[in-house]
Amino acid sequence: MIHNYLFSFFLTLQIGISYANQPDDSSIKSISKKLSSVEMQWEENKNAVKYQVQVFNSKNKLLKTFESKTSLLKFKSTSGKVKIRGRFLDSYGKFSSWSDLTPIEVPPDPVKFNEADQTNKESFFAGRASNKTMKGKVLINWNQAPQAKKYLLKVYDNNTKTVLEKISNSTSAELFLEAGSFTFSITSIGNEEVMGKESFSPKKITVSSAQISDLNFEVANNPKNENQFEIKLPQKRSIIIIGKLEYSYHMSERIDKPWKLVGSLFEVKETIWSPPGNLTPGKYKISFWGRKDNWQDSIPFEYEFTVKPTINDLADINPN
Amino acid sequence: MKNWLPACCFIIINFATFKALPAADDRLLYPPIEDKRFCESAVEFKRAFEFFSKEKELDFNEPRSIKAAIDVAKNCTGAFERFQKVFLLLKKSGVELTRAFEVSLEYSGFDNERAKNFFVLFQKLFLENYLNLDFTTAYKLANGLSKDYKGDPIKLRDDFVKIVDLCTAEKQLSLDKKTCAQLALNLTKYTELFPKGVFEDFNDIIKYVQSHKRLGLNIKDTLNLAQRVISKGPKAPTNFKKIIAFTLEENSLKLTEIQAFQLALVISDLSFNDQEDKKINKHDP
Repeated sequence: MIHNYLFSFFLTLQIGISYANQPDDSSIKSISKKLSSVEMQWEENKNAVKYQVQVFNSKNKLLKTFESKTSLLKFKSTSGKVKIRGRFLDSYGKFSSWSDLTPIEVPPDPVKFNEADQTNKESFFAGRASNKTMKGKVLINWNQAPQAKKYLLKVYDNNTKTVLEKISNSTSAELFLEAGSFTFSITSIGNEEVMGKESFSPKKITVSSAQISDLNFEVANNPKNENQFEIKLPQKRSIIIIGKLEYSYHMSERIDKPWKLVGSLFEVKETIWSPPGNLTPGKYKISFWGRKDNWQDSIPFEYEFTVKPTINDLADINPN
Repeated sequence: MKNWLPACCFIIINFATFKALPAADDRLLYPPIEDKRFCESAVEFKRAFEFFSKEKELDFNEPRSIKAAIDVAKNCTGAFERFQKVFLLLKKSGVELTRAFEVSLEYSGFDNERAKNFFVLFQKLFLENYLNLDFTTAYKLANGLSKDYKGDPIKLRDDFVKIVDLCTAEKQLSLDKKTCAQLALNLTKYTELFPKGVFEDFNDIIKYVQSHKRLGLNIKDTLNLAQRVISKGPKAPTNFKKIIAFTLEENSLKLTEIQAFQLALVISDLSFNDQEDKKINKHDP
């Protein structure tokens, strides 16, 4: 009599995750020789004194036979699609009939990340976005998982939106990401595309933003008077020029922060800047830099100049 | 009408008598005190204190103003005037006020002429209308030409101002400002060799060379020549001119203009005998 072979499997790894993006290159570069752990729970039968399970591959070739005195069977297996069947031996020494072959998927073990990375929040994979492409290259790596043939890498932004999915045949990947902070997960993939459980890396990815490349500012001095000058500002689409004017006294070496902001930062829309005519005598420093959304400001261009009193300014202290 | 005449005479006589009488003024009763050791310290203190009280940007409270006014008054008669001029000049030039106060206090301790040298020469060095040097250079040079100057400050100031006026004036030498500054600094090194300063002799030799029909030097060569001649002391310009006259005008020697010019330079170089100076120094106790 074929018993009610209602048995259930409790596999140590989750299965059944499907992905839209399947790898186009499925060649095996390396696969962990460690086998995946499988636990299988038979529905208990009161007459059973021993349980027997046979594992077949997808081509119905017998791979292994396991026996257990309890209804819980634990065994190691390669990952992939297998078929199993079972029977039990009753107290009369008679085996029941084999159950039907039931297909199951044995997933590879999940990737385990280093414990140190979980406690060290300062640790992250870093990259710097290029000025030209706005993307930064980051090399990430992870530990090998038993029975993983390849890995699915998913990168999430701060809003948990997937920004990248990629299959890697090795335990590292080179990513090109825009500036920002990211988390990532690795899902191991075993034989016959059976997927393991998604593991999230405690180590984040940080790509510092791209910096606007140096802008060309030209100072044109009046040949007759070095104190008179104008600065030609670069004109680039979508980059705005920000200016900052600072003042310092002469002989201010003893002051901690000698430069004081004059007014506030200003956006320069003209193509030429020259100092306003009403400046108090002293030392000045004009700084300009480029600004663009999601970009790091360009390195500031700085130019120092002096405003001197005129003869008229000193008329009241000079005797006629 | 007859009564008016004696009355008018009386008034005139009395007025004349009044003018002849000594006035009730201490200065006329006692001889004036010229000794520089005696100071108008109360006047200096009061003016300085009032100044510090009004100078809000200095942010001195009353005890600090008193202390500062005492420091000024320590420098005797005229100290406040010296202090105030230098302070206001530095303040208007954009100097940090604590430093302006310190420098001005130092200058209040020098004599009037040295303080005036700083006041006048700093403006000549720094302002755009004159030599237009950067602040640090102008300040350093002004100190060198005033408080650190060992010779007669009036003579130096006079020379410097006149040279700068000459070389910056459009109708005169019209030199660029850097060349002019260098010229003024070079020439004033020799101010003390000349009883009345170098300017008159410098100007004279320039005019002489420029107007001489056979020398025909450009402005650069003229300036180099004038500086070389001036560097040899007050007799050098005359010696130079005498040899030019001897060779080119009297035709005593058959020399070309260049040869005559070179000979005049050689002879004018002999106008200063520094060996004699060394001999004198040897005899010094």
